[in-house]
Amino acid sequence: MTNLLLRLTLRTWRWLAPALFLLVGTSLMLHGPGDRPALDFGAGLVPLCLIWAVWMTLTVGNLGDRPLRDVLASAAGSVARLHHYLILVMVCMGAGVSAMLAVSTGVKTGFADPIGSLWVFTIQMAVVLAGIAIGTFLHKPFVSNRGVAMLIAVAAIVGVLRLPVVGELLRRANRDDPSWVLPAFGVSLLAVLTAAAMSETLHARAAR
Amino acid sequence: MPKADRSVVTLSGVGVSYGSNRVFDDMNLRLDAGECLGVRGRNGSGKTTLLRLLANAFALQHGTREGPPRVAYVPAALTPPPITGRMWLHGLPRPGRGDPNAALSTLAFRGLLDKPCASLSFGNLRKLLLAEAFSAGTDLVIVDEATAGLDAPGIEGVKQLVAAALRRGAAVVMADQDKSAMPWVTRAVEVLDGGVVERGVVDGGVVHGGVAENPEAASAGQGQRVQVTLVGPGANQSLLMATASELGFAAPLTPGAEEHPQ
Repeated sequence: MTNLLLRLTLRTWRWLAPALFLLVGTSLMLHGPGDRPALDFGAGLVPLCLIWAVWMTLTVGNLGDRPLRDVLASAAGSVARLHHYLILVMVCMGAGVSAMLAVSTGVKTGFADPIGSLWVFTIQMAVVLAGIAIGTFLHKPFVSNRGVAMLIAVAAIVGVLRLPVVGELLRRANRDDPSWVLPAFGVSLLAVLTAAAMSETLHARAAR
Repeated sequence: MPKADRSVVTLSGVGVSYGSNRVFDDMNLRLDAGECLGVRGRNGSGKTTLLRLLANAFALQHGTREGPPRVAYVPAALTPPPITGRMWLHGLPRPGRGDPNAALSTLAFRGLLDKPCASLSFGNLRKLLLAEAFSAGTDLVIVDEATAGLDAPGIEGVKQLVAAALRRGAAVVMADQDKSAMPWVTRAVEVLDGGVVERGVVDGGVVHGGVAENPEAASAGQGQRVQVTLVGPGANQSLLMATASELGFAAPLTPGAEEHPQ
């Protein structure tokens, strides 16, 4: 099922706009001298990665029309299980993007700090998971109007980035201090697992 | 047609509402192995909602569904998925999958499997979806608008696929607007007024409501007395009875009537 969902996602080409956004944003962010720590570059990529993750989660969650999602849900076993598969697809793509961003910062810093690149991967994965948790509540059938979903998504992204703990996480990362990265990853993972666990209830409420 | 007593799927006390619009209220329905259930009803009566409930593609608001989690479901229409026909035939997780190419041959499919589904005609897309569903090996196959878009060989193919599915002990549910389009159904229900009214159990079954002549069975040349079961919320029983009478059942139906073995 994950394989089919990945193929369906890739062949819609709706991943292209968020991918270009991330590519251009990353290129601009990594432009300039490379004498900063890898994690500092990684912190700079956090807003881009969060926007990409929410955008892609909305794209994947809104895959096809309702009859197609019905077929997929009945084949998966339930609407909740389909929801879990969609989250899994996003986690797979997010891991790929996080790895590419880690490699990009590694290339930028001449791989002087391999451990730093590993922290870059971890912080981007934390951001991806947070983005998935946000986007999971905003796609169909929970929010059927894409315009409304986009407005709520923008508000949620700004709200998350302005959280004091996120500010502190980024400040520490700018100082090449990874001490808050793992707790951030844990919180984001918990948020995604909560969103997955609430699938059945959310779908029942959305169907009313 | 012989039937097993094994229940494939059972809906108990199911309630569904869209906002203030109540579609089902305390609805019960049981489907046994080897049964082909025909579902009819007016536009907007809740046929597709019933099919989605049975297909596990709709999160229950009230009540329970007991049955296989994985179901083969063919909706009335869908935007063609952006993959090739071959990918569709082999992409869905079907642990007991049979040979979809044999099903395609049975349906007289004439499309190109390596082209995107969007390039297929409506009829060939329907045949592709039907072939995938009937070769999935699931205990329950559900088809909305069973004969929509199909040519004569396709309809004959569906008949053969339904017969094969019933022989291996699966249950099939089909909805169609055209009353004469599904001569292969063994049992028919009509969706109305928040419940499901049995319109004819042609070859036996449990009798709760009484016995009546089914005018449709008579007009189809069958003409025998058929058992009729009314399933619905207790509070609406009299409404269901009155509605069934309006639908043309010849004999009056009495709640709680004695069971009449066929």
